[in-house]
Amino acid sequence: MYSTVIEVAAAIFDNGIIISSSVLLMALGLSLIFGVLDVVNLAHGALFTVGAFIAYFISVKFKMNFFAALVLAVLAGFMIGLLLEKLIFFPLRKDLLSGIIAAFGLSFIIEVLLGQVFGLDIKGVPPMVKRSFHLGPLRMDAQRILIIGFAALLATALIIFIHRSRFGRAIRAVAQNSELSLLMGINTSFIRLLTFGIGISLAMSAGVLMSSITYIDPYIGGELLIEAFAAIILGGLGSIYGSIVGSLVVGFLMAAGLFFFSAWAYAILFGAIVVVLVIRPQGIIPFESG
Amino acid sequence: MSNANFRRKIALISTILLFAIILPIITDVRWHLVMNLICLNAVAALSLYFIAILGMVSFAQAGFYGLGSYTVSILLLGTKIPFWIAWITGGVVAVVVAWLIGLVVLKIKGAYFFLVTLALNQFLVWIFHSWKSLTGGYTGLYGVPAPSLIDSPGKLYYLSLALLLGLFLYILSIQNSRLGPILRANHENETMIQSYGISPFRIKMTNWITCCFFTGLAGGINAILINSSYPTMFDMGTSLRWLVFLVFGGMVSPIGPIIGSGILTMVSEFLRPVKQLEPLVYGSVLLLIIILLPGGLLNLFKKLFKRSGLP
Repeated sequence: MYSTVIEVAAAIFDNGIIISSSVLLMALGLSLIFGVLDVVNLAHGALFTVGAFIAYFISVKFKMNFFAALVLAVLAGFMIGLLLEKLIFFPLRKDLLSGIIAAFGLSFIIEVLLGQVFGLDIKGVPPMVKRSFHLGPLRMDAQRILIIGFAALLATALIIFIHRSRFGRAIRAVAQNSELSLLMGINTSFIRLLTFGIGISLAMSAGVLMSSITYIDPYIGGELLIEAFAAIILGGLGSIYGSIVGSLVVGFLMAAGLFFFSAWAYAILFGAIVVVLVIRPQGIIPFESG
Repeated sequence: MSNANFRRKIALISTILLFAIILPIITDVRWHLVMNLICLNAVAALSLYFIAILGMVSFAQAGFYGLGSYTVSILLLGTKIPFWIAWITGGVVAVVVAWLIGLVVLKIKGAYFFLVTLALNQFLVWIFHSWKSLTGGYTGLYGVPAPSLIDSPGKLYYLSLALLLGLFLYILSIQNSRLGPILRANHENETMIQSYGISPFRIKMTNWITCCFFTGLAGGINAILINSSYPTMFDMGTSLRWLVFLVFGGMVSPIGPIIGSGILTMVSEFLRPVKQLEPLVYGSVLLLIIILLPGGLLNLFKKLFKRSGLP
């Protein structure tokens, strides 16, 4: 009995930390973009999928290294982010509603294009490293540890960038008060561009990282997007630390829910959103403090 | 609004209505189906409009449409309840869900409404998938019996038209009443509204519940029209379609979403052979209109009229 409990806990931990990592990489970008640009980027999920397809294309078609795909996704994501901000979201910056509607349309365009170019059949990317580790009852594939490590690395790098660099300070200033920042001599439209670029490259690198442990079709990002939304609602919209806490909560809730109730896990997730909105609408760690 | 202007509007609306009433007599069954779809889509797009004027976009309208459709299907297939009661029940189920969600989310400012309705739609579709004993799972429910009064699309059309007219007149009457300016102001300045002793929350809640009631009723008619309910019909793609209808027609007046639904429903009938490209077309239309033509077709017409000097 005792050992089964440990095994169950280990299984849930294993799954939970993986789901948390993928949700975290999505939620960080979403939260950053929302905090600075006031854009709810519904196209974030579709861009995650673009990242996964880049990984598929590089590693399966070109037989190149996984890390090449990661670098390419980060660069391409940054460029795509700049383009989207310049062409779509900057002209619509006055109105939250228009931005959301535009992003919604964009996500469908990307999904259909991916389906037309690569086909709708389910694809996979072989893992980089094939070993696995045993740590007591915990058995983890090296690939998964690699992914968790990268997620932690990216999250830490982002936090250091936001809190320790000059650009980061400017980003925080624009997030708090865009007009006042402009008066203080901050180039707000440049900061918006930078933020959008970073946000999208986070989404696409998340796609590359997750591609090796999940199936790939044009709709995977859309499914993950809902979990990322749950994470930023739980954590507090716009708050970076909040999205870390929110992602961990969502990841472990989903893992436990999938283990004990299989399909009903989504009901638990939705219930959690509702409960948090009723008890603590500002989220676990509100925006102002993070 | 001046008296002459008002009279001209009434005349225009009654002419269109008369045309809409005789239309089934001069067309065949294929068109009857399309006309039904136009009315039902217009109801959904109008309901989106009625919440959008308060600055909220609901991504869950497809879910509420599904609630109405599934309620009617389940009641008509499983019990001996007459259609009319099942139909109203479908609307009431949508209202109850909308009310519960509204309690949670309408008091919170900011972007939460979008996020929660988005999650709600996924959640509802997931229930339609997963509650197999009640909803039939992926394949859905088939063979919903139609009551004799509305057993052909041509007859059903009058019910759809009546529903559309009902919602349209309701919105017009609200907008032309004392509440009209308040509705418009609510979007722009909630604090001022509060200082007049009016609760913005109550206004939002009333609009939201009414919209979901009508959307649920439209879903109920849809169940009779196609004799079935299945989960993929109520997914995000459907919410996208209605949003496009609304934005395409224009958000400036309740005529906009009706024009948008009329034109684009017919377009989507032509697109039927390339169904998988439909989201691409709609997504592009949405993006182009929102960037290049804010205000939709209606605004374009107005600008053209002004330039040509016509009234």
